[in-house]
Amino acid sequence: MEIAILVYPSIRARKYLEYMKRHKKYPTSAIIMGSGEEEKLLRDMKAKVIKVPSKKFKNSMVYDAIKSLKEEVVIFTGGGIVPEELLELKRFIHIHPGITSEYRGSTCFYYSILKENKIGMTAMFLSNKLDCGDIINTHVYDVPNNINIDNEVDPELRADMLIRTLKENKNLVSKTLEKPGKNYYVIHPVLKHIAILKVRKNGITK
Amino acid sequence: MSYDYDGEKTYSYSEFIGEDFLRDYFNYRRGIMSRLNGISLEDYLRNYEIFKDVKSFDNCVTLSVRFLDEYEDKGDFRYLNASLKINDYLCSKGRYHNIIDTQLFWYVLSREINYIKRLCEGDDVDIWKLLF
Repeated sequence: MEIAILVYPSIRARKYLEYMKRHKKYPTSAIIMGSGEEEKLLRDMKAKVIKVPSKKFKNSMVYDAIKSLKEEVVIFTGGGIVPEELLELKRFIHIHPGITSEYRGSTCFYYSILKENKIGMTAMFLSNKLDCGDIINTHVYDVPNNINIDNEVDPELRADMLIRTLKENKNLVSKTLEKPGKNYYVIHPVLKHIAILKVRKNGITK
Repeated sequence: MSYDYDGEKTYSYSEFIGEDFLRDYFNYRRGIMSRLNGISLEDYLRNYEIFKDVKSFDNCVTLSVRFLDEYEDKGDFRYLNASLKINDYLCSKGRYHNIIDTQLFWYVLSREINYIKRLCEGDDVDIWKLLF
């Protein structure tokens, strides 16, 4: 299956591209939003590159670029709410750092460390409801011994999950999320700190 | 700053900790003013079932007690998180001398401290450094 990628300038996008190159899961097209630092990496993978000088999803140039793609499936590398009109154009794969039947929202990474000392990942198609899209794949990871959670652990595990999904579910067969999990967001700094302490203590060194 | 504190028992502030500690803690919590990503505390709390029947937001401390009870019953960290945020809010909006019921306020804070201490058990952590 041919897949495109929407490159939002971020550590996560960079990590996705590095993993895709390393595992030879090349995107056939890419839309680079903003400054376009990832262009060389994409050219190395022979992807057709479209550059859009905007970092906003609600933008007519971004809309037109996505509409022009021949691929039906696009890897999403950003965060936040994706406008409805974009969701109507293509199917967007998003890697969510939590098992969506249990954990939804932006900080579930920390809550699952606090509660279970594990980190779940869900590959899903974006929908207009937060973390409620159809599920393509799930996996639960041990917590690595790295306290740089936001900038290293999160993008690394998401990138690994993306590759795992592209390898294990090549046709991207998905199923409906029957019962959405609780919504976790805006974690208090004290609880976040305790989660980081747990990573320092229990994290697994590979 | 150091305090000798037995975290397993909930003391009233006049019994044990005293006003100096409570004032320090209050001022510390004023300083945190935890981020809510641009939404109001009320909007944030609407995600919680137990907030849905709350008509007034005037008595934050009592609301915080309900969240702590819920955390104790269910072990769901979202409730402890909500209590921490309510009390940050309370401290940031008010002045120490305006707290109507200091005993109740201390009761809530000491419960929070107990739970946090338990979460850190086995870790080589100075709880007071974490909290201050």
